[in-house]
Amino acid sequence: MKALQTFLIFLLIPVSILNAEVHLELSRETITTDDTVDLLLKFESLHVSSIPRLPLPEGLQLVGVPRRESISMYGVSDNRVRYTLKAEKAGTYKIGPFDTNGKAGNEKIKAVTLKVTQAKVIETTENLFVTMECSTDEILVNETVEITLSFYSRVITGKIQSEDFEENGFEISEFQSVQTRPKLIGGVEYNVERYIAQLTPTRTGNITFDPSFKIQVRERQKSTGSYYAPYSTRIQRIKLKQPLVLTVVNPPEEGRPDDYEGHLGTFRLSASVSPQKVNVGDPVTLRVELTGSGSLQQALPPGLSESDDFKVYEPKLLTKNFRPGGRSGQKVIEQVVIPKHGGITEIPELTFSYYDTLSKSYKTLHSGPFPLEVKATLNDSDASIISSLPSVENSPELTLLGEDLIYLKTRPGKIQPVSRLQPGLQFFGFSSVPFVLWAFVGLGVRTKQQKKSDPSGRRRQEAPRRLRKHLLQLDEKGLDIHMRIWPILSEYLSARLSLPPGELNSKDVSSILQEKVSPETLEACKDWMQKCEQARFAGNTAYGNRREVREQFRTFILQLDQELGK
Amino acid sequence: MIRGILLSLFVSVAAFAESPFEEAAALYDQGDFSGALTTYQAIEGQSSALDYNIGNTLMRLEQTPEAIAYYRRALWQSPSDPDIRANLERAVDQTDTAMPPLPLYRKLSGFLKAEQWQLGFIISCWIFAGLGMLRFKIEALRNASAWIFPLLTLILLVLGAGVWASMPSAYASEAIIKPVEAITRFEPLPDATEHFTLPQGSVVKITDQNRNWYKISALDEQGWVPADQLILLKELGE
Repeated sequence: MKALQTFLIFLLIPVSILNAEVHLELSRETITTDDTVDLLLKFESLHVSSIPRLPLPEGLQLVGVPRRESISMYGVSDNRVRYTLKAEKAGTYKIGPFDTNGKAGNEKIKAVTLKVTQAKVIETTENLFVTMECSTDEILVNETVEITLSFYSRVITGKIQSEDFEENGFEISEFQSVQTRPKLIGGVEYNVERYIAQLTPTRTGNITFDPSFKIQVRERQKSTGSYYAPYSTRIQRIKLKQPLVLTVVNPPEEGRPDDYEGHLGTFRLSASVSPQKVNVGDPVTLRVELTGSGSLQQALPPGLSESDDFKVYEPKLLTKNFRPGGRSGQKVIEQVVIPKHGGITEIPELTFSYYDTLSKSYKTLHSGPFPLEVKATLNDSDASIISSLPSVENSPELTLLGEDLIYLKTRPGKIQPVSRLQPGLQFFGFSSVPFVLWAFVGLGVRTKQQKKSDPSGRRRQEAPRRLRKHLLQLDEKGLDIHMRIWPILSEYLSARLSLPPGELNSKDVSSILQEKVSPETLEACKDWMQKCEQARFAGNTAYGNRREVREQFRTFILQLDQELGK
Repeated sequence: MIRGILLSLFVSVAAFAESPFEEAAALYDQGDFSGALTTYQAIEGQSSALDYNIGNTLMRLEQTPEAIAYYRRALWQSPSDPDIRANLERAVDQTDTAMPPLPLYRKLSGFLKAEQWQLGFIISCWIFAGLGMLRFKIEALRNASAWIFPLLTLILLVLGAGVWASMPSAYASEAIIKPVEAITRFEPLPDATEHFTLPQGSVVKITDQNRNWYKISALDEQGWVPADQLILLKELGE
């Protein structure tokens, strides 16, 4: 009947989610009878179009209307339905598991367990008081339990300051604010602020909590008696209404399994092996998942030990997910194992023992054995090499130094002295030569361009060369020698002194030359200019024979060029 | 003719003869690690592969600090080689220290070898200057010089930085702590006040020298260490 009821209820869930990963989560694992808890039905990466009704165990009630929530981050949406529950009486409530009846057949929404303790009756007329509670009075060493700090107030309160807990024999997490809701005590409504922390005792004995708190209280000034009277703030120091005393004991010795390593809580174990068909010496990956709540922080999923059949490597912790509070979550390891010989048909089962704090008994979880087909393809010598490989556990006398090194390089690369790697003279030479060439070419181009843009400068520079060329062509034949000297002299002087060739006169030439040449040369120049003038305009040629005149002129003009060149 | 034949025969025999590098690898495979080390260290010159193989041989001889020094030098020369990184990590795992990563500039410049950076720089210099000379002749190049020459300057700067980053002098100041624990002192004297200690295999930076003492920098501290407690990367065999 119950199964049918569950099936009918889940027909209300849209078909699209039947194959999806759906799971339940409680906001707290322990509450009191006057408290509420949130149950979350989570659908990973799926949209929920309607809110499913959950079959709740007797004694648990739904408070208010379930709320649909959606959180989207990095393109992945997490949809969930939040149910607020309240327990009528103390006890342990198992919510689920639920059969989804989807295509996967046996897929289930795993059950969650809620522990409810009887709320203590509070009788008070105080405006402000504080209580500290734990779900149980007796706890085990290394067991993590929640302790709840509740501030009840009928006045407006502000900051709360607590003295630090001296962690002697226990570890306690930071207090987290969980909810603020009103509560009726003796017909009077109080505001309740709750804070929760995780407590883990580390030794047996009694732990007593009796802290004091400073609370900021705001109230109207009584002296005026008016509704509009201003507020005043004061600090009120209060202690717990009743100290919290917890007894810490060890788990019982009776029924303790041999492989028990001190883990407490409730756990689930699952494992898988891949590949399942291998040759001798091939690696096989063993993946083990440990899920649950309790001392999961300290626990590690079990792995395979070294044996005659398998060489094992250290397990590698793959993932570690804890829910807020850190009490429940999942740890996954991967371990590489290598079959040492053929004929192995399975990897032996893995076990994990813990003390179940709910059923108050030891439990051992089993996973496997895992079928494995190992082909013996290696010859004896190869197999012996494998079996002689040093393992982590069996041969501590062998050193592991260098065993996992990657093998030698087979090619030496370019072997050269270190000095060759340091940039030397050759490097700097080869790098700078092109720039030197560029500089020379640039200089040449610039000179050429300057000549092009300055004709008088070019004429001045070319004047000595042209003078020598004309002197070579000067002979005694033909016209009056002075008539032939004049073009040479006038071209030279006009080019060298940057004067217009048609306007060359003795006065201008003298004024320029007097600072550049000796007085004798200046006088000689004047003389030659005068003689040439006379020859040009008066036709006077009585100045010695032509050869002598030519030689005198050559001497003079070369002297002038030499002095001007300085 | 006969001389020519003999010469060619000698050349072909020499070509088939085992090189010292291969000879050392063969000794290593036979488990003669001391012989392999001697053969490797007799090879004149140096390469990252040679340093790596010497590092492996030293690891087999359980000379971890020396192996770290050779691996470290190999890593400086080939920062992207995963084998060197893996074996260096394996060697460092044997000690109580952690290996500081190579500077970012060396990691970035690690995809080319030192001589490749230098060759690239020289070729770029010639291209730069060649285009500069052609600029006087070619009108189109003159028009495009507004972007060509800044681009070439940038390339030259990058290549110059690569040359600088791949120089052996970049790791010349590094050293490895040799004893199980080296005590650094405030002064280069045996009875000077102790400053801090460094575990075997730690990479330190040499900042100063005073006779047989080196001033080193590590863990944001500076102190003096005797020379015989350090393996200087610049003094590793070639």
